[in-house]
Amino acid sequence: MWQIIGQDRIVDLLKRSFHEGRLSHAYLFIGPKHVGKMTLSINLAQALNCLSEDKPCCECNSCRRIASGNHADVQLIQLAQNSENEQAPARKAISVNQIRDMQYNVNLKPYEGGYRVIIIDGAEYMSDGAANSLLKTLEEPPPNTVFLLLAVDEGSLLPTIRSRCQKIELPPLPSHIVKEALMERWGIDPSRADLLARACQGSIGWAISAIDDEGILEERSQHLDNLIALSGSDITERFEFAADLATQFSKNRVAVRERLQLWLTWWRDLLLVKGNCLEFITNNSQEGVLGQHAAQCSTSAIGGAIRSIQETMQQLEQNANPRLALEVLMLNIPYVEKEEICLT
Amino acid sequence: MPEVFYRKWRPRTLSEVVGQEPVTRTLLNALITGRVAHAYLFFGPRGTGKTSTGRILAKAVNCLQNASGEPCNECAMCQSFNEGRAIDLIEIDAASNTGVDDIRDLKEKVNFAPNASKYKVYIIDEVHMLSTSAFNALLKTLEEPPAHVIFVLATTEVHKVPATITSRCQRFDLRRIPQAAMVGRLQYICDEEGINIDPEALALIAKSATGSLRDAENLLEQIVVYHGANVDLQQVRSELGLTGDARIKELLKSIISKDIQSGLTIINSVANDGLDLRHFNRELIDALRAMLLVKAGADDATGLTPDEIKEMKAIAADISLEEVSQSVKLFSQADFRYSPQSTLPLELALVDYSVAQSESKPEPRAEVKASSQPRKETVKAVVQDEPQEEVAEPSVPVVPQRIPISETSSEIEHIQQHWGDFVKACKGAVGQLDALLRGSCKPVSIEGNTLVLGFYAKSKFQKNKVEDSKYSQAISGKLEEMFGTSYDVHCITIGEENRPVPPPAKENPLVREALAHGAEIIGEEYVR
Repeated sequence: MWQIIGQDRIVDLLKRSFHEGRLSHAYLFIGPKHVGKMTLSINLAQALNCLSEDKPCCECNSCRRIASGNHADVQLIQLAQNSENEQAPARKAISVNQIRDMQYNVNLKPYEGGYRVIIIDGAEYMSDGAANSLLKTLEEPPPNTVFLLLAVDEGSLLPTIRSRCQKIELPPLPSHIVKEALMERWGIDPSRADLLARACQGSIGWAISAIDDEGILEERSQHLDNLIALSGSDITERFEFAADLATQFSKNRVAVRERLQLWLTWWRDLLLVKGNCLEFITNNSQEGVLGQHAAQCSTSAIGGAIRSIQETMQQLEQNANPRLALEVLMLNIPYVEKEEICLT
Repeated sequence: MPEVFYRKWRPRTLSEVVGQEPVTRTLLNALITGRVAHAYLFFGPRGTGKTSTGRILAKAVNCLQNASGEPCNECAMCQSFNEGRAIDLIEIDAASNTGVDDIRDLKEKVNFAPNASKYKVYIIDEVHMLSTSAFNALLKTLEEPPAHVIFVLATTEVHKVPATITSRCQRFDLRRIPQAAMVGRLQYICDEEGINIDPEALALIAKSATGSLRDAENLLEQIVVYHGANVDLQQVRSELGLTGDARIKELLKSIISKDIQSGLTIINSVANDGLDLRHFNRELIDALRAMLLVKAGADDATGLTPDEIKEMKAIAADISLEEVSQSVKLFSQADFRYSPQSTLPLELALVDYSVAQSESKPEPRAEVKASSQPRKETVKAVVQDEPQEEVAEPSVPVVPQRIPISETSSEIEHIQQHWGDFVKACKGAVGQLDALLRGSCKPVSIEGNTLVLGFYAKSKFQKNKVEDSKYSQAISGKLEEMFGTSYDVHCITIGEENRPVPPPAKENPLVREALAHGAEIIGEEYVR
C-alpha cells in the first residue's frame, strides 16, 4: 500500500509506470519540506524490491528492512550529520566523495538480486563537483538501478541534472486534506486537527510529528506571542530582541529561518483579514488579535512588513551581518498600540 | 526495465541528429573526404546532442563499409558500438575522474594501438570539470596524439575550458534545437512507438522543453506512461500545469475591479487544487499582456481570435492603459525564488496593485472612524480612512476622536489618564505644541472652568511659551475637541520632584551596547 497522503495523481503515475514496466531510471521529486518526498521514495523502493504480490506490501521482510534503512540495495545519500557534537554546524554540502562511493557500489550487481535504489535527499545541497560527477551515471546507469533525487528548490539544481530525470512535483497539500487525514488515520479530534492542518502549511510531515510532540506546537504559539508582543514594543525592546535573535542565528540558522517563515504567515494572515478572506488564514487560533492588528495597520504597511521580512531572509541567506539585518527588520515592522493587545 | 526514450532513441547516424545541420554537414564532409581531425570539442546546452554526435563520429570512422560518410549500423563494428561493447571507444567521465593522475593514466594507454578497429576514440564528457593540472597534462597529447587516436571533448560550460585546450581542437557549437526540428523528431518517435498525439500537443511539449531534446523526450514519456498511447492537447496542458483560462479570466476581472477579496479567494483556490502557481502567474501575465496590447490598439499582435479580442476588450473597458501596465509590472515582479510553493507573492502583487491604484485616486476622505470599528470592512474603505501622515510615520497614531468620560472617574482623573493621547493629538497644531507639552507638565486640577497645568521647575521655557495666548487658545480648542468641554488654561510651577522618574539610562540595551564599546556617560538627560 502506498502510504503517501494526498498525492493520488503522482501515486497513480508511478503505479502505472511500475505495472507497465516503464519506470524511468531517474526521478526528481520536488516539493516543500515534509510534504512526503521521502515517504514516496521509500514506497517506490519497496515496490521495486517487494517479495509479495501486492507491491509494495510494507509487511514483507524486504519492505520492512527498506523502511528501517537496513536494506543492502537501497542507499540513502544526504547531508552528513555531525551527530556527536550538537553544537557543530551540520555539513553544508553533499560531497563529491559521497557520490564517488555510490558510483562504485552502483557498478556492482544488486546484492539481493532486485533493484538498486539510490535516494539522494536534498539534491540541491550537492556540491558543484558532486553534481557534475553524478551526470554520467545518472544518464546511463547500469541496469536495474533507479535514482531518486529529492529537492525543495528546483532552481538550485544544475540544468543538466534536471534534464536527465523525470521531474515530479509534489504540491503542498490543501489544509482540508491534511485535516481529514489526521482525523481518519491518527484519530485526532477535529478542532486540533484543524489547528495542525492550518499550521503545517501543506507539509503533512510537520503535522504528524506535532501529534506526538506537544512541544512543537507550544513553541510555535510561543513564537507567535513573541511576535504579537513585538508589534507593540518600542524601539529599545525591539533592538534587544534583534540582538537575541542574531545570537541564536549564529548557533542555529534553520531555527531563525523557520521563525521568519512563521512571521510571514502572520503578516499574510493580516493581509487576508484585510481582504476579508478569513477561511484561508493560517493562525486562526489568534483570530481576535489578528482583527485588532489588521484594523490598526494600513494595507501598504502590511505589504511593507512582508517585503522586509523576505528581504531579511534573503540577506541572511547571503551572509549579511545578522544583527544589522534583523535590526533593520525591526524598524520596518509596523507599530501597533500595546493597550489594545492587553485587552484580549 | 526498458530504456527510457532519451536512451532508446539516441540518434545513430549523423542525419538523425536534428537541428544541428552546420555541425553534422561539416562532420559528414570530413568523413567523406577522409579529413577527420584528431581532436574535437563539442559545446552546447543540455540535450542538444554532444555525446551522441561524439559516439556517431567514433562509429563512423571505424565503420567497415563506410561508403557515404555515415555509419552503416549493420556491420559487426557498428553493432559493437551500438551495443556499447566496442573496446576501442573509451568514454571518460571527466567529472568523476578530475585529477591529473587520471590523465596520466590515459596518456600511458594512448600509445597502444587499437584492439579491433581502425581508430581508438576517447570521448571525454563533462570536460569542464577537469582540474587545471589535468588540463595541462593533457595539452601535449591533445596537440599531437598518435595517428590512431581521436579525442572528442564534450561540455556544457566552455568558458571553464582553458584556451590552450580549445585552440588544439576543432570546436563545434551545438545550438538549442529549433521547435520545428524538435517536433519532427518527437513525431518520429511517436510513430515508431505507436503513439497517437496531436501536432499541437507536440508543439507545446517542444516549446516547454526550451531547446533541449532530452527534456522533451522525458516529458513525452511521462505523459505517455500516464495517459496511454492516445494523447490530446488537454492532457499535455494539464501535465504541464497549465490551468486553462477560466480562473485566469476571473482573477483578471478581480484585478481590474480592485476586488481584493475575490482575488485572494481565487489565488487560494488555485493553490488548494495543487496547481503550480508559477505557471499560473505566467499565464496571468500573458493575459495581462494581451490586455495591454488590446488597450494600446495592437490587436493583431496578441495572436488571439477575434472573439477573444472582443471579450478582452469588454473586460478591459473599465481600466486605463496606465493601470494595465502597472499591473503587468507588479505581477511579473512576483518573486517565487524564496517560497516556490507559496501563494504569498501573488497575493502581495494583487494587494500592492489595488492599494496603489486606490491611493493614487484622490477620493473624498471618509469620516474618521474609531479604531474599534468592526474589522469586516473592505480594504478600499480602510485605505481611504488612513491619513497620509500615517504612512510616513506609522509609529505615531493620531487619535483625534472624542473620548467619553467613564462613570467611575472624575473629570480631572479622566484628563490625566488620557493626557498622553492628548499630547499626541496635538501634533500638527500651532507651532510644535506637542513638543512643548511632552514631558514638561501634567494636568493638576480643574478649578471651575480652568484647567491647571503644573509645569516642572526645570521646564520654565515651555511654561513661558504655553502662557502665550496663541498656545493656550490652541490647547483649549484641542481640549474641547477631545474631551467635549472647553477649558481655559492656567499654568503653575510645581517642584521638579513631581516629574516622573525616567528609567536609569544604564538599563537601556542601546546604552549598554555603547558602554561595552567604550562609551562614557557624561550626563543623563531624558527626552520623551
